[in-house]
Amino acid sequence: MTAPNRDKFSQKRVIVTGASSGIGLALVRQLDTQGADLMAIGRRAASELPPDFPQIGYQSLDVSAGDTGPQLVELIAARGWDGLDLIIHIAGIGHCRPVADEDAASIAGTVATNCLAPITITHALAPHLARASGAVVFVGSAAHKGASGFPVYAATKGALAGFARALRSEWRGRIGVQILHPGPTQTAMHDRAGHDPGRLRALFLSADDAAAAMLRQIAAGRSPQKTGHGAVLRMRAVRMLAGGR
Amino acid sequence: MRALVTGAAAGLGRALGEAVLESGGSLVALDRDEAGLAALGYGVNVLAADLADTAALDGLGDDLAGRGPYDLVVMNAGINATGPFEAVPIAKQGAVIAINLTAPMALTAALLRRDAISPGGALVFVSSLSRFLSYPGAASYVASKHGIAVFAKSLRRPLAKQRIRVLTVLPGALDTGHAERHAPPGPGRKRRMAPDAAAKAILAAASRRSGEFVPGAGPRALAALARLAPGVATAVMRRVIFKKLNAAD
Ligand SMILES: NC(=O)c1ccc[n+]([C@@H]2O[C@H](COP(=O)([O-])OP(=O)(O)OC[C@H]3O[C@@H](n4cnc5c(N)ncnc54)[C@H](OP(=O)(O)O)[C@@H]3O)[C@@H](O)[C@H]2O)c1
Repeated sequence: MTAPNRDKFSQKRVIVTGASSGIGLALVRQLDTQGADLMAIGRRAASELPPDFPQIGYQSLDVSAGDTGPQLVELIAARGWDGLDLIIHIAGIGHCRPVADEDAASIAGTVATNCLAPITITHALAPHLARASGAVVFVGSAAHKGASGFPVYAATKGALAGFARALRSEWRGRIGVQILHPGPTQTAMHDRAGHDPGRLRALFLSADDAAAAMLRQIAAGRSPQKTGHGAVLRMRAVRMLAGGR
Repeated sequence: MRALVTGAAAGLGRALGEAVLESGGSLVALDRDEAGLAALGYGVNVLAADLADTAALDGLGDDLAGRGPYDLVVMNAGINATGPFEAVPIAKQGAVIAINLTAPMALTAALLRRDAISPGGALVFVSSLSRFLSYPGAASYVASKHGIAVFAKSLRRPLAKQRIRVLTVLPGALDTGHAERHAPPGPGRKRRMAPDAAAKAILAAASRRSGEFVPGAGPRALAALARLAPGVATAVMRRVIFKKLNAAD
């Protein structure tokens, strides 16, 4: 016996955005091992994926373009899925810079990717989620309460937190709604954001640990959830007690 | 004192502009409602523009910066779209996010880039009490209002170094056209705060401090309760607003 949530994802129809790198990549690897039926979305072309990317359906889509909802509806139909059990919105970007260094296009791009994309995709897929009594998972950040180094990024993650709380109430008893707030994790994001965490990097979670803790939290269904070292240690303790590794 | 108020043609924005003029200040008023702006009267520097037009925001910010510098900037313009999330057309929800979240962030960036807010001045964002209460039936609205409050909080420390105060205002229900359009039918009207009373309280708070400010004792008590018991607050909002919105459709 390993993770107690193993059966939770077996055969489940799951869409993961942001699956081409970092936490999302670690998540689809683990979901694949656990037998999920996966559709992975990333921005880069399939030819740019790491060589050991799992043998799962991958689609290159720019979620900030605004038409991803209808595109996913088509992809779902092409897969022959009549419903959707789970969507995890992980695609995200950020810039570490003072607000005066932002312009309207960069701000609108961050809002489109981190905030509008998960909202519009969830809107388009609501009927599929309802048919399967499925669940939607938003990915915030520890920055959702405010971060002076990343004001626009923090705002989009705060917006998601407010959105998820309202939607969770609206959809109670029909579709699960959850938001997870990962703590600092070792991924490409920090370099991409122009953020040098310096010595703090040593304290970051690995993407694998963050993903495993998030899957546990998804299996448990509570919201909101922080994914930090506490969550990872709790997960390890439960596994040990359950007789796993 | 020179002030910039967005969404100044009606509701709380109009009351804020009037309070500025009454206190002897000069006003730059932005709104998309040209007729409403014209009605503000002689001496107001008006600019008609649609904040939903994201591509125009940099130019608009430069234009506004050129009419400054300001001692007070109030990012007040906002819209709502109510109903069950899946029933509200996504384009409308996108406009809510664009006007309430993207636009004030982009205008702030443009004003700061051009040093258009004077040291000793205040930058005010109008969020909503739903940041604490939540608001099932207006999920994208609450997203935008939560997001802008977090943006403001993130700016507080960096702008303090430039001696600019950052105030987030979280009004409860106001007796404005917004409530007429979006509140569920019912006898709620007398519990709504008059916009001119809210405007005076906001100007007073902005002249003194940074942080989050809830105008009115009743809304302030609600906010405190909601922060202690967010789950209960959401459940109550679901009962008093979401269920009624559903029934009214
Ligand atoms: N790392 C952290 O410390 C941390 C902490 C808290 C929250 N988070 C959140 O966790 C999520 C994943 O971040 P990460 O650290 O794993 O970063 P990452 O390694 O940079 O991965 C980001 C993923 O999002 C995808 N993506 C970005 N923009 C996209 C677009 N327009 N269309 C489609 N896909 C897009 C990327 O695709 P391509 O690579 O193909 O472009 C990539 O798969 C983000 O939402 C982030 O905000 C991260």
